Amino acid sequence: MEKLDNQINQTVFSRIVENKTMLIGLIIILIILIFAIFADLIAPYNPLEFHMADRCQSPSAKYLFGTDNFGRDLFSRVVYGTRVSMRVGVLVVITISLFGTIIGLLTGYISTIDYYLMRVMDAFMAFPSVLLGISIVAMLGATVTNVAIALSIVYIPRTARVVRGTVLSLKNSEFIRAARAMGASDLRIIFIHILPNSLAPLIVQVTFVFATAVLAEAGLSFVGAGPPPPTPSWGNILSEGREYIRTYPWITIFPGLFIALTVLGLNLVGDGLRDILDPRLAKSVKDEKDTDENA
Amino acid sequence: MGRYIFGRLLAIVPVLMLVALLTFLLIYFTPGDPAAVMLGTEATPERIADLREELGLNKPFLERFIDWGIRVLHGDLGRSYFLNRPVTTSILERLPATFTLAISSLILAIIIGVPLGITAAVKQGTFFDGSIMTFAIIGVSIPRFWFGLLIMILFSVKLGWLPTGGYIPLTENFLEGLKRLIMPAMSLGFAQAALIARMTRSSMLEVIRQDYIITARAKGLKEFVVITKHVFMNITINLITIVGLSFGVLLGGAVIVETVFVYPGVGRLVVQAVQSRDYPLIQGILLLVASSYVLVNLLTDLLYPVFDPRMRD
Repeated sequence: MEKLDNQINQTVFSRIVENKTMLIGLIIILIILIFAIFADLIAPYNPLEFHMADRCQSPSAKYLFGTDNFGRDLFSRVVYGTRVSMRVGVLVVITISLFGTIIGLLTGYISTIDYYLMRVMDAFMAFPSVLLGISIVAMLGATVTNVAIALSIVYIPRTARVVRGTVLSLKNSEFIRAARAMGASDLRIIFIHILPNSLAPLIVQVTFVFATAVLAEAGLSFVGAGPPPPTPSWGNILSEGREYIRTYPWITIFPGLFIALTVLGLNLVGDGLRDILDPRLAKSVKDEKDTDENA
Repeated sequence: MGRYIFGRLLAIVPVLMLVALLTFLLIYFTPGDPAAVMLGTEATPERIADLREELGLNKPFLERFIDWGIRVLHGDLGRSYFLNRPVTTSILERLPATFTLAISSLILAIIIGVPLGITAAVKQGTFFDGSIMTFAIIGVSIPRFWFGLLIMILFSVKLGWLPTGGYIPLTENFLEGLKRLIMPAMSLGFAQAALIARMTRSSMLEVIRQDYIITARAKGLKEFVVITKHVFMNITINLITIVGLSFGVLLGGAVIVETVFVYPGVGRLVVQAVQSRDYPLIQGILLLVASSYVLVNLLTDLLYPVFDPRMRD
């Protein structure tokens, strides 16, 4: 049994290592996280500090990404901007994982609740995510936490749908019927048997939602529905740079590049996780290994 | 088939009612007093109280919701605080611009995305597949508004070929209208093309692995016939679903792209409404856009039997 566990763990680890694009994604996310955690050490200047004599400087050794219209160092602002995006992303991921899972488990397992609750979820999903997010932020006020709350409300229904789908496919499985026959309560079946088997698609979904949340937060900040200036969020920097696009285009290029790289990293990780956690692929890898050992 | 259509029509009624309820609740729970917002900071408490009575803000929740619902069914979405004109009129003036943008982007996305997805699936594992999927994953990762700014720098600032923004209806002046439509449509359409390419490839690969495709090839059919007549026809349902979902994504994406290009559509209107806390206008736009999305999804559901004979029974 221990040998089999080691084989399975090795299979998962070796598949992560073999998946080059997922490795690239992980490296990108690691770099972004380092920027977010160690922004104080990495950023050469205070992101809010004006250097009026050095306004609108192009990229140089002194100012790696140049400066904006107030003389603020763009590199420092972009580095501190990682904190806003990561904070929103993490808050959204925690919230949707918790509420999306609970709603998905309940609706997938209990059919009477399913009909009514899924109609409510359908109604939420009828609103385009950016539009709903922007409206909720308008109601609550533009802070990092409220942006996270708004985006969580947008993405909980989608996450609940994914979990619900998995629960529906599992709830009549033989192992669940066996557990029921042995006298397991519904609560035990949901949390001890169904939930662990629903984690794989949830993990993949959550990774993609993280990416979407980073994009959405940047978009909301760009139109003035995110954390207000002078908070150095990537969307704010892009919005402020729009006025100077003809003369100082670098103010637009660098923050956008960071958004794109972060989202690309998360999407690559999500794609890789989907390949690794797909049982059909896992089975084929195990069959290959068994065949090699028996040859 | 009649039963299917009737069932679909009946299914959207609770969804539309819930959409209306959610839209109403969003404004109902907004902190602050709408009467005070309308009258400004210099209004007296007596004047605010009078206006609250006049607007029915002191009525119970259910009565307010029913009154609002009846007005909405008559086409009255209230009055904009800051534009000081009916919300319905403000939205209808901007709607043609947004729909032109959404439809142009969708056409662009389909024209680019579907062939790329098919090519990637047919040439799975080759250089073409790798390149297309690389383009696709980069495409879905790039923020639409940033892409819009980049193409603005290229085509407007550096090359001077296209104006930076604005809108002229295509019916008024086709060439000038098209010049102002290209960049916003590209900003929205390219990202959606990337998504459509990925989903088309995924759907094609699922069908290509089926036994009946192996049989078709074994019978000696030409590859072109196998792909077009057997594989592609069996993914049309998926494509219709993707197109229906794309419409909602494009309507949402238009909010930000219209701001980039100063494009006078509903998206830009909602941003202005948010900035000025014009809640009736936000509410009206939310309701209209969400209802449009529900109806577009209904349309895609009704198209399924057209493309899948098994659903006609």
